[in-house]
Amino acid sequence: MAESLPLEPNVETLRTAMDRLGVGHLDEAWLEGFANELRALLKLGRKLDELDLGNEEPASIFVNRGGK
Amino acid sequence: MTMAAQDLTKLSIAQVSELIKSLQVSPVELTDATLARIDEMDGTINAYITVMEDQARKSAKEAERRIMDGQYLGPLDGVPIGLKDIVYTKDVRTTCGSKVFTDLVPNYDATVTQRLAAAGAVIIGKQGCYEFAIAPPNPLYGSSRNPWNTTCDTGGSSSGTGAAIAAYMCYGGIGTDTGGSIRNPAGVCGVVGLKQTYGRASRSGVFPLAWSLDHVGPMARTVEDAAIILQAIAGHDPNDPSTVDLPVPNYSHALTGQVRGLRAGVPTNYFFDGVHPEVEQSVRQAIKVLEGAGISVEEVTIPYGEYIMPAFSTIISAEAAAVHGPLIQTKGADYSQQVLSAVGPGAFITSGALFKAQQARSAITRGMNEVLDKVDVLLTPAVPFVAWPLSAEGYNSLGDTTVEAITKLAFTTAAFNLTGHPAISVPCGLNSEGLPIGLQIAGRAFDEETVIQVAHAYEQLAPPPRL
Repeated sequence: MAESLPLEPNVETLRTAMDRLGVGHLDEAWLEGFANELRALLKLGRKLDELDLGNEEPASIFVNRGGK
Repeated sequence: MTMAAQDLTKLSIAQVSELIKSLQVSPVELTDATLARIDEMDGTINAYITVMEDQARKSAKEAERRIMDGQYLGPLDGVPIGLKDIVYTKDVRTTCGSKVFTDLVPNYDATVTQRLAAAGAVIIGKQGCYEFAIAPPNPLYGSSRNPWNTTCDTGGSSSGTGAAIAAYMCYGGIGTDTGGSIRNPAGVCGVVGLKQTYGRASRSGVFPLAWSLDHVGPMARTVEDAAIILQAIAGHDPNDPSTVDLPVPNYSHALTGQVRGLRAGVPTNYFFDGVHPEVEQSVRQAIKVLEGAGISVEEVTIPYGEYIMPAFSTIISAEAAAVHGPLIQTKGADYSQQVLSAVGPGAFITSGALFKAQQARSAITRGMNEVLDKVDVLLTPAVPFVAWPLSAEGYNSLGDTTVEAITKLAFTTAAFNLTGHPAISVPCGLNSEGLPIGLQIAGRAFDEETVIQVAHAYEQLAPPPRL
């Protein structure tokens, strides 16, 4: 199954990304924490790679309606 | 005045509406009593960001005049109702609990605000919440305190609304629920919180957190009151493309007090995982009470249960990052670091991961529908634990990361944001420290009536503890 998630985040990559977003200066400790947040999110999302849903239609963004 | 102001504030919407209708109490008296209660309590509870004293008194006088003229609008006419401060109010500041919107004064009302006003409700104020409905503590306005123990959190993110209702500082309110933010504070504050089906009520004019998961719904002290508020806000809105043009039932017809002949499913997987033993004990006792009243109970398995939180976390993170990205570019310096930590990681989710999560969501929803083909409702804990100590560290008191904390906080509720099914939290007792516990009742899409019926019947069988 193709890997659907990006490479492991590192502080320098995140600093560049957040600078580009215009967030302003973020200290090293905060960026380390942010990298941890991102790793935790990606780790949780990787659980979905266990699923082989074939051609399952992805849920619509706006119209969910309890599957009706 | 026929009743002491203190007593008036402790009545339900259904009770005060009878007094208003029969001209025994005026909306002005009710509003004065509520404002006095806020004045007395909110220094401790911190439920309100903006108290709309002048506007509320004006609305109350209009309601009084209207009712005296014989033009009574219904059970919300003249009744003070609060709004979570991400619900837009024309000419009244709407902060979203954030420094980013300290000076935002909308030039229009949200659809729910309009509909409540059309039903005669007196909008009493804007209530505190997690900043942008995602991350505690609130660095600018402070955290709301739980009326059951003021050293404890209220749950969130509709924190002020849950606290204000529990502390009798309004009769009901409007919260929002993206992963449980109505049902969580309802459960933790010992009140009722109803997330109706996705598409049943408009989100137009409510600041989004994640479009495909967001719901706007009622919070109140009783199930009947939540049904009264839902009646006012439900229905198609051309300004919200997610709303569905279906007839809105008369929810009062669901208040039968009967459950005989209904079937309830109790999940054997997922929903009780990691739930505190005292919470589990209370919820299972509540299930026995309903069974004793004639509901038939069977065990059910929730398909794809272990994929609920991975799919939910991926989708909420990606959508929240898309909502906030443009704002961060212009006002990034005004964002608290807690919010940046919560919404920033979603910017790094790939389209492949998002669509995988949406595929999982389809499978989870189909599985939930299959379960709900066999039973009328599902019975689960509303919140896995009771109110936790307030902490300046916010989510860090619940987990090492925001993702871990949200996974714990939304564990029992987020499934129904993912699938869109209606779900309610109704109080089902106190733990050994006197803190509220909530029972969650979920039902079929657009079948809020059965959810309300079961919740109301339970409430009649086991009246909730009150402060």
